[in-house]
Amino acid sequence: MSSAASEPTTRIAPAIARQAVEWMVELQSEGAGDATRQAWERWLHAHPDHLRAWHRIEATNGRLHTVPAPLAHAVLSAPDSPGRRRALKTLGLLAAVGGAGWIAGRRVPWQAWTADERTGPGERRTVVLPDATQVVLNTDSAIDVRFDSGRRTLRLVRGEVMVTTGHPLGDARPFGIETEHGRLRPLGTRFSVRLDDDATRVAVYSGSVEVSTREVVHPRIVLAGERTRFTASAVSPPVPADENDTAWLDGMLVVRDMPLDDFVAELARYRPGHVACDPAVAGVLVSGTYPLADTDRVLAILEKSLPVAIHYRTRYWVRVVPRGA
Amino acid sequence: MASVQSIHRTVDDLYSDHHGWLLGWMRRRLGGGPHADDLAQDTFVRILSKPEAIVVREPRAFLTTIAQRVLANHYRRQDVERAWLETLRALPESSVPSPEVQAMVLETLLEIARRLDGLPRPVRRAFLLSQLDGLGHAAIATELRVSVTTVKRYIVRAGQQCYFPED
Repeated sequence: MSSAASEPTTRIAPAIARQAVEWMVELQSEGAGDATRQAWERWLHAHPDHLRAWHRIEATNGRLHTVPAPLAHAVLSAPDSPGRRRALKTLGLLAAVGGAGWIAGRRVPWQAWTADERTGPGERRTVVLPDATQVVLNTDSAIDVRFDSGRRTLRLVRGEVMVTTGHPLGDARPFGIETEHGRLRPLGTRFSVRLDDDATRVAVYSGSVEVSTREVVHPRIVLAGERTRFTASAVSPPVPADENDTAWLDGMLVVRDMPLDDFVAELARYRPGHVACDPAVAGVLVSGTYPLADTDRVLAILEKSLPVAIHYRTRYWVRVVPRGA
Repeated sequence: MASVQSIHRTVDDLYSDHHGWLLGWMRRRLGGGPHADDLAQDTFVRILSKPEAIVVREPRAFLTTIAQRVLANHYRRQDVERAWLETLRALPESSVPSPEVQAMVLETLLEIARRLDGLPRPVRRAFLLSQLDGLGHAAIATELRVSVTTVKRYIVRAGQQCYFPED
């Protein structure tokens, strides 16, 4: 599949520019529903220039939002108009109640929103952000969400999330997801992000996501049906996404021919304490559907279906070893 | 397209033949003041940066067109700067941003003002109310006393110019 490594800065045809703006207006309409969003997404991905035009709009709107709205009105309205006088009055009022710093674009009181969300081992929770973006936190995960005057940022600190973007255009501030390895920019999508020690994994199920690593200038686009992993310095070539990777949303772990040590590491995410796999059985292949709500039961199933035994030193210290060892 | 050298020669000729005349034109427009020299200079710099625009059959008409654009730019800049200073004065001292932030905000404002230039006031206002304040189309229609369809048309028109400026 294709992926755009860089975007030439050539001019965008006026007809496409017009379409892009018309879509923006359509999506911001009071009556815009799922059908409109789906039609927009089809348009967006019908041609690379559509995506480029769209980025252009987002970039300008992002810049526009570094200036508080009343200030922009005060300066951009015609001189001595009622609009300017009203805007100046609002500004004085805001400055009086808001204190210092609001103008720097860091804290605009009526737009700022922050939240930290955490889940423990075995927990799963759905969070809805003010722009209607839905975030499902998988087990043992942590996110920091910060909406300010300039942007909407979700930082994945630990674990895994499934994101379904809300109405990015009711809210023109650019939306991004950050991990220690880089930044993702969704374009009307559903996708999952998982933070491992050495890399971030992303899988896209609808729309597309732009990946910018911390150290590389050119972003890569990951399309629907693809997944990839990236470190601070490189993005791996995308491969087909695996629907089984989303089974956790239904509280299941679905695997096919997964080496036992990987399976045990995966299971360990969902339970407190320590689970280890003896190297002697690390390569045994596991397939099947397992309930995440009861990891003890999963371990018991392993013992029945594979040539392994489960050693419980305590409930929180478990080891999977060869049977008869 | 003409070679870089021949363009420079053309501009050189324009400069030596018409610079004095253009300076006089600028001074008359500005009614004196310190800016005429700079703006006459800006006019030639702009011609150098857009070589494809050169037509020398009517050099003074050509120069006037560019000079008018330079002048409009200058007035707009003055306007935005004045409004910005007015805004700063309206703020309590504790809320006045740092000089770096001031410069950044002014830069953004100038750029947006440049892109929205020439649009009728209701068009520009519909756009700003929608993209800056996040007002819905119906609310903007009420505010501007026009139909929702007109509001949409306004935003599309301003958006094309703001997001996709021609230069």
